[in-house]
Amino acid sequence: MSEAIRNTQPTSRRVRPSRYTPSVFRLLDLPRELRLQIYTKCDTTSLLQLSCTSRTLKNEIAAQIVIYPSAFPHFKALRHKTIQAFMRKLIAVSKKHGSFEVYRRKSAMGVVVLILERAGGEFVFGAMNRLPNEGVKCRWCYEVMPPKDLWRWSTRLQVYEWTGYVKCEQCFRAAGFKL
Amino acid sequence: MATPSTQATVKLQSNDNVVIEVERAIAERSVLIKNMLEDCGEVTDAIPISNVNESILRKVIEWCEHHKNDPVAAENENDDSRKKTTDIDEWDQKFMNVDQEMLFEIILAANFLDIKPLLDTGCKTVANMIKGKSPEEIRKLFNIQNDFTPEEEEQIRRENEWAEDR
Repeated sequence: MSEAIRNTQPTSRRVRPSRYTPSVFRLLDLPRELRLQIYTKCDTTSLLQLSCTSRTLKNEIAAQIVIYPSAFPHFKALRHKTIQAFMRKLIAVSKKHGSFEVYRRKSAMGVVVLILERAGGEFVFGAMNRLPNEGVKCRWCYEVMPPKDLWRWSTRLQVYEWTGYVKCEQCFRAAGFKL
Repeated sequence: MATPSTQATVKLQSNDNVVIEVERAIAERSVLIKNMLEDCGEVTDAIPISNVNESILRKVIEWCEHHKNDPVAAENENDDSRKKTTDIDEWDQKFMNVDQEMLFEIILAANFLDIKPLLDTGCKTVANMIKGKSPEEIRKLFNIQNDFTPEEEEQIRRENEWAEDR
């Protein structure tokens, strides 16, 4: 191929434009490891919607939930037992439930809560449409962190998402980190 | 390991027996081919690319040619930068504007030839196709059989109201 090609447009439109051809992508015919790579590129909403399409995909997505950084960026932080306990106070979820569930309830605090649960009964994502009143104790100094430090407004999802912080600002800075 | 070769071009043979000659630097965007050339040194015969047909191979070569001067990502980068975004540059978006079957084949070829950035772009393209779609639309897009019972489906619908009423 010549150097001239480098500066031209890709040939895709000239080859076979998508609007004239069948619009089915054989996702399930891809090897599983490639499907998992696709899931790692999905955001939370896409991954949830995809998991609602069939039981097969739901189980496949849930089984590897730890590897989806785009969808669950704060997964490790959310596994902290203080946060798990905090979320469990907001919403009662049986550990017997399936591996990948979404809950939308009005809690005692009057906020709408969105939470996913995985096989071990842990919450992997939390979001709400109003700031909760309660804070969470800092993992290091046990001072209560205010809700505004714990939840960040997501313009994409139009909810407050967990920031993933398990230490208060003072402890965070004392450890030499910058916010 | 063989002595490093200085040959400027290599021949690649698709699985439908078409031989395509490309610059070595372009072919070496494929880690599979790069390792093969490093191991074998001078290769005069065409390298068989057994899983890829001519049209897909030409498409992959086109991508490699455009990206031949891109820096190669270090192995220990752990792909973080690739995982955090579904942004695709304009040229790649146009490149991926192909029918679904070709997109499917490009992803398989990128995986077989071990061209991670191309595989990444393919996966991001599919992830972008999912974005903003309802489960029913996704089923149609990917021809997925709904194997939930009506009760399960109703429960899922209730659980996912949040996503629908935004």
